[in-house]
Amino acid sequence: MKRVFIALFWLCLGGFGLMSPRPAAAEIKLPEGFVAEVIAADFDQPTAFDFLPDGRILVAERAGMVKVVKDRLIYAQPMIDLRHEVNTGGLDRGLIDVAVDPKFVVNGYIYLLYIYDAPQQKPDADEPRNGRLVRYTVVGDAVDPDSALVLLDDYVCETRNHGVGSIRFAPNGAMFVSLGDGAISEQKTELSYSAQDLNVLNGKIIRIDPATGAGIGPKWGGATEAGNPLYDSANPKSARSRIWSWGYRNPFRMGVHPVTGVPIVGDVGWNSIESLQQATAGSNMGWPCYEGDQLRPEYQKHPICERLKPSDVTPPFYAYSHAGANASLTGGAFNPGGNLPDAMTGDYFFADYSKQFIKRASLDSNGKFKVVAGFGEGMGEPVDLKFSPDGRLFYLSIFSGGLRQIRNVSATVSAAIFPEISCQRTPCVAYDGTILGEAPFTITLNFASVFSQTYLENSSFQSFLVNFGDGSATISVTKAAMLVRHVYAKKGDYALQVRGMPLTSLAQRRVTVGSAKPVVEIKSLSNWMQVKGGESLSLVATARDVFGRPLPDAPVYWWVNVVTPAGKTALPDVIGAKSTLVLPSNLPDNAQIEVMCAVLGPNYHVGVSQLTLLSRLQDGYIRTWWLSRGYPNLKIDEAALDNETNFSLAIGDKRFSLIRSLSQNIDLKNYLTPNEETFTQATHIAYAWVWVESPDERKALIGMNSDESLAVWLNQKEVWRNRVNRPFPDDFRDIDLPAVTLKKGLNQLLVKIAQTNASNATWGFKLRLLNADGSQMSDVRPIIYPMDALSQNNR
Amino acid sequence: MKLSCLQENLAKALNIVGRAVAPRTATLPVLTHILLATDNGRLRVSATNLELGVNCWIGAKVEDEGAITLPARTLTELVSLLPSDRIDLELNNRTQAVRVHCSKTDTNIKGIDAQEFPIVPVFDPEGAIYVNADVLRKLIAKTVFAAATDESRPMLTGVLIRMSEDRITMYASDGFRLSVCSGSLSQPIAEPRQVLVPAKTLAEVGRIVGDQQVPVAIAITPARGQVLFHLENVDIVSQLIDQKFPEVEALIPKKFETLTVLNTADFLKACKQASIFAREASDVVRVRITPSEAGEGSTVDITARADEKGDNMNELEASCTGIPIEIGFNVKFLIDVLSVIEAPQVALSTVTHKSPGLFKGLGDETFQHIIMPINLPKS
Repeated sequence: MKRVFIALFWLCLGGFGLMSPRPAAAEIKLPEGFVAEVIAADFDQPTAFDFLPDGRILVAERAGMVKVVKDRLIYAQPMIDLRHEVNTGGLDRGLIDVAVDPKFVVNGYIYLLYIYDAPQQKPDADEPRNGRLVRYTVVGDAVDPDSALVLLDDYVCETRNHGVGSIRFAPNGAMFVSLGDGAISEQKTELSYSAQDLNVLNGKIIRIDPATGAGIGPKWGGATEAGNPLYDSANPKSARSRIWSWGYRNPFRMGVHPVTGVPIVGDVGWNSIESLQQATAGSNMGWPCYEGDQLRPEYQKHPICERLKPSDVTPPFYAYSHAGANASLTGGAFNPGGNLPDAMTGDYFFADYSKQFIKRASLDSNGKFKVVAGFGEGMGEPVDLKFSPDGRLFYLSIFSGGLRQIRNVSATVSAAIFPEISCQRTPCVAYDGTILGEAPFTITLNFASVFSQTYLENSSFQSFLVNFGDGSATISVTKAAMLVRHVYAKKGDYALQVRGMPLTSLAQRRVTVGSAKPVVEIKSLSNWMQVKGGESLSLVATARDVFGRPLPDAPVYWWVNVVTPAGKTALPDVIGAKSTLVLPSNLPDNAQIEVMCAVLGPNYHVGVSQLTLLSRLQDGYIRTWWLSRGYPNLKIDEAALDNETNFSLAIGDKRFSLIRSLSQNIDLKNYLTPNEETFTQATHIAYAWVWVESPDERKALIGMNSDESLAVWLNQKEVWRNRVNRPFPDDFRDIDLPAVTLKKGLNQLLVKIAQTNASNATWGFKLRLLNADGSQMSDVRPIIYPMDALSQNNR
Repeated sequence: MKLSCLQENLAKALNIVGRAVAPRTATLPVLTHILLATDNGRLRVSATNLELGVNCWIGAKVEDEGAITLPARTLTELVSLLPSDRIDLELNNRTQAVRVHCSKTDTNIKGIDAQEFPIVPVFDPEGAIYVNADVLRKLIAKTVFAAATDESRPMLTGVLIRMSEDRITMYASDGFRLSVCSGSLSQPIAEPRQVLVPAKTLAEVGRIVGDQQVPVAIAITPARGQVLFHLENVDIVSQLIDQKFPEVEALIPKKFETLTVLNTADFLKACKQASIFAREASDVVRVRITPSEAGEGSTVDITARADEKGDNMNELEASCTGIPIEIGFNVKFLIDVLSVIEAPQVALSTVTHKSPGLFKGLGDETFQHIIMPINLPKS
């Protein structure tokens, strides 16, 4: 049944009073130097598309499937199949838009907009139905079916026409959704007045929070946000709270200005006028009292139109007459630059389904349309038009040609004739076109596809000249040898140029050789910094590329774990280069807090910086030590280590292992490898080692107790030796309290603990550093890996 | 007013508010009374002497709303002697007498109209500062004892409370000793605050806060005339002392010549023994510190001598660094401070026998106590 509607899909009413037929196929005409290239065509009524950050393209089919396109191939398995609940029972009905969340890399969200058949409703019936906006989470190449979150379901489309339209994001992350008046196209209908009713969503552009579906209120996402014009904080999900602009007939497609955040909406006209509208906050486009800038006499005899003053109506930015023919405006997108000629950067590209054109509108410095110029004719039936993140123009033709890319073959910067690139790390090409790798960096250029006719329509390249930009000789590539391998030996920035012959078109890519990973620096914290429960941690990081250039827009993610001997607890993730995180108030003694900062650089290379913070100890006793094994038959005055006094632990010394004690008392029998020989002997010794970092040279006390004898060396100098027999577990005192001098930086501390006269007795010690006056020394840090301290000092 | 409550709860409430009742010599008779008022299904028990006011709420089954004041002593004594059972209170509005019925006991107590009772402010959470009950309890215990009890220098009868960012610090001094104790606030505050609260008030707060778990809210009235401590079911309101507390930070010695670390319990026991003799010699004890060369085997002698009674000497083991010193202290002050130090060892820093001694728990950075020395008679 769905095929019946093909010819009737998506039309505005032309001047003839009947649905426009499907436009006749025409030859594509583009300005010289541009070609239209089919990316993927085997779709069933594709209605919308959007880009995933990794280069995959999602294409929505009207019946309710979203398909995945990668490398010009359509995946057999759809990302999601909603055919059972998408209503296609009308001209404009179906799955009408798909949008990828701007933070997809982090959250994996996509959004679908369609007319909904509830389970009890007759499938695909031409009856009143509600529109739905649903968020799903993508996992791999499919969505998690349980992740559905309905953000909007109170829009009612009474007829088969003018239903749901587009989903677009503003620069601040707010979501615009366009919704038609839900009225039938053929004749005048009272339903059209709903476009002026501010208590329903028909004929509106709404602006909502993509997380909740509620209207955008003041200070949403930032202090400068004024909120939606009719926002009611008591009822943020009411129609009024969500409405941004009104008086639309069928605002089917729109594009949001990348700086101002104002949508430019293509409002499909009725009998006379197609209008591009600038949807500023609170603007009223006048439908049905006005069509474009013209009064609609059919609708004037109604209180709504009688009340509406001309001054209340925002005139279209740009409008064109049907001039006795069919027309159906498809709102478009702003050219971000980077692929089309510079003169077109910032232009708004839009299309007409019936007239089969793509045009571009230039804006003046005040954001007003300056001039509209033709761009393409015979483009098929454009129903969606977007720029990829790297600035290539794509459009979707619903019946013929599918998804196409318009390629600039004359410009000096052209991605399209570029050969396929492979390198050690795949993918190695960032969206900005940069090819990234570490020296020596081997890239392989495969020209097979660019020589292939199926890849490149109208290709007549005979050969390519390749200049690697690193001073090596230019090489010529022909069909005889289409694989080219090249090694960039040194770190640097190179221009890789590929010139097609005999067409003389030139494509250029930047090759960056060096660490592709961003260099991340955590600014606000230092390793082994002491923190306490309830403290608010300032999380500030900077990211630079390998050449030291800042990456201010790279996404920054923070992961913070509280690590205790009982396990690891993750704190809520934090996003942003400047953020804060409040530590749990019940931070256990001697917890370590792992802070990891990851920055997503070009081409999804992730740079990471990690450091560890320490929970400030309430009692100051060091609980983390390197412990030697137990040595039997030795006493306190006998040495197991050669040259005990001058001993310095080397990380990796197999005789020592790292321990962390929950208690202030280091119970050696808990930690030493069971050794019958040791523990059955009446006398045995063991060593404990730690570095202590002091911010300055200072006098200090070492507070200790032990079972039994102990000796202590600080910086290879013996500072204490106590030959005693004493029990200790229940004694909370620091019996041994030598006065010492700590040097600035790392101090080496070696403790020898002896058990002298019992084979099965307890055996242990405790140690802390105190200020010279006996108060707690809170600014020294026990260090387990000296390189951590040293690297910190080098920062 | 007609209500029922449990004897146990009412007795506890009367005990809590009792300290705020004015003495019987008060010029306003109603101040010797306790206010009983129904309040949102609970019974509010209030007392005030105009300097200190306490509101306490207990659960009650309220049948008729109302309020009355009853003589504090009569009511408290009676309730404490009633059986542990339900108490029914019924006000006769005509006679302003309350019938107190419990088990088989029937009592009528004449009261004064509640309208005459001064208004005891209730808690307003706006701008309140929160501190954990155990922190507050520790701060009070470690400072209040050092405040002056004689009224000749009113500013010294108070405890200075300074709050800044996430720290709360209390200072108390009677001119001969100084206690400084600090702790964490439950929530950081934006602007530093400072108030001088009567030590008596804080002692009450410390007594009532008991084993409460929820944080205590401290509210300072905008004019800074009053402070309110909001506990679980109890509000304590107090006038602030409108005087300047001396700048005491400078008194805390920053350097020392001798550091002595002693077992807190041994030191306290020695002081208690010495006090038996010292009380007849102006409470003076002589502390002689003799560091050994190696630091090990140092000794501290605590000596008290009463010409009439005899003398006492205790030798304590200690870890000492620095020069030998012989210094005199008021033994009561020593007992006071050693009683509140929780650390098993106490660190005593001294400079000369004429300079104050600084006492800290070993490894404790939250508490400092200094005691002025006493000139020793030549022995």
